[in-house]
Amino acid sequence: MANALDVPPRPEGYVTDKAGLLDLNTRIKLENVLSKYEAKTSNQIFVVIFPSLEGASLEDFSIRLAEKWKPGQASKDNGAILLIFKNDRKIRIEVGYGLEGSLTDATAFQIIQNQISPYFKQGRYADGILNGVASIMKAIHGQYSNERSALTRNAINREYSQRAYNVRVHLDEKLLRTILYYVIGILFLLFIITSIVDVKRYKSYLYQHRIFKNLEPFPEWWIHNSSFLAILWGTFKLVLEILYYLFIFSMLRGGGSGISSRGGRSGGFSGGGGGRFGGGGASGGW
Amino acid sequence: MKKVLIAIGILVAVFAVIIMVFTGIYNRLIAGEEQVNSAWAQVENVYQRRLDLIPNLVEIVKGYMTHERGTLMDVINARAKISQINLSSNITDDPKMLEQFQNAQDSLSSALSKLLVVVERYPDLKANQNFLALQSQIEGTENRIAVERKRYNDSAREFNVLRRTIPNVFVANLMGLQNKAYFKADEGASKAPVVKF
Repeated sequence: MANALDVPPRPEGYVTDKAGLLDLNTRIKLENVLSKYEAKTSNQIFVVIFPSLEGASLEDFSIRLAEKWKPGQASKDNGAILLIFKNDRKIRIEVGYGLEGSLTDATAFQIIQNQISPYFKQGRYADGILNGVASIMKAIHGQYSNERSALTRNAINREYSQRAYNVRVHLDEKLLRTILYYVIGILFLLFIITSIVDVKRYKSYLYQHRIFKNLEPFPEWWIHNSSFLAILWGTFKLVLEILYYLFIFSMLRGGGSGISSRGGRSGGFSGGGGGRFGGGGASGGW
Repeated sequence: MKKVLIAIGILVAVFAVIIMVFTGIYNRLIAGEEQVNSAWAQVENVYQRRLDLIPNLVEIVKGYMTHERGTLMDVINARAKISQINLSSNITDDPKMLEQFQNAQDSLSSALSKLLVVVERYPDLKANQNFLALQSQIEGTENRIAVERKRYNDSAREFNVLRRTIPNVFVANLMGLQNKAYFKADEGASKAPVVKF
């Protein structure tokens, strides 16, 4: 059983280098490039370097990393991660749903094989990573060559990603509509109940009148009767109504029942975060 | 007369509360079930994606592999068996059906990995660009399958926990909502297939 390596908290920048693979100049350059890229295209590419997998599986760690850090915009799922484990000599490109159409599995594999690995084999880590990032960006914009039948593959990937996306959007809308419907229904029912039960009971009690005489709607009755008891009862009833409404609403929402909503946003970037991943991409090594 | 009316009023209120609570619970269960169904749809989606890659793989490999056709035939047969399975919409409620489905898919997985091991002996095939692209697509799809299966299991577990707690369990039993089935963990996943030459 492989033990699971822990995923650290999401960083502030685009580049995480826990293995000391890159010198300061390269890091700064890379941060600039990636920051400008996000500003221009809203795509978020992270470069993540760790020393050792410690027996964990590369793909398993990669998807957990992607699910925790969530690069890419929530509405577009346009994130990608270049993940490197120095001691294990492993490279993986993890691709978000939104980029799978252009940055296909095959393309990611080719980038690792032809644009990163050759440099790494020579110990030129900075060049390899810069070249890899440049190739990833080219691939996303359909300009990476070394692809045969690119048209067919892109079409297939887009179709699958679209199908998956449609299913998720549909569920969110249905849940929202159900909750809205129930809120309206409850308010309506409450209105009916208060109109019937309260007015008749109180009037017959206090004024000793016959039930169906002098019947007026609750709001008017509330305004006209300024006796102390009327005000007191009215306030008490209002409070009860609010509590009642909150109780029902909380039943619908459910305290931690685990019905999932869209992924939460984390701060720290120019408004990114929330991008979703499906396990697309490729692995390789050197 | 006043007392009767008060009693009726209170009864109406109580009855309304019970209805509200019941429908609240039921709707939460339904929402949870829809979550499971959507996770299952994703699982079917990625398995279908793998299935669609097989014909291309067979075409390319056929041209290069003159011997050891057995492994290729295993892949073709496993794929045919899967195409024959009729998936009813209640597969998530039926552990036996899910197990059947998983076994069929797992035999394709093992046939595929055996084939990819055999391919190592054909350097021409290994250098073929189309084959390399296809191989990375298959590996990518296998990874997607693992991810979606895990997510399905997670959502099935969430639903089952929701369904089995009191008071939800009463509503669920009354309305006929079943516990969801799980994918079994791969026992042989950590072992690479051994191919005898």
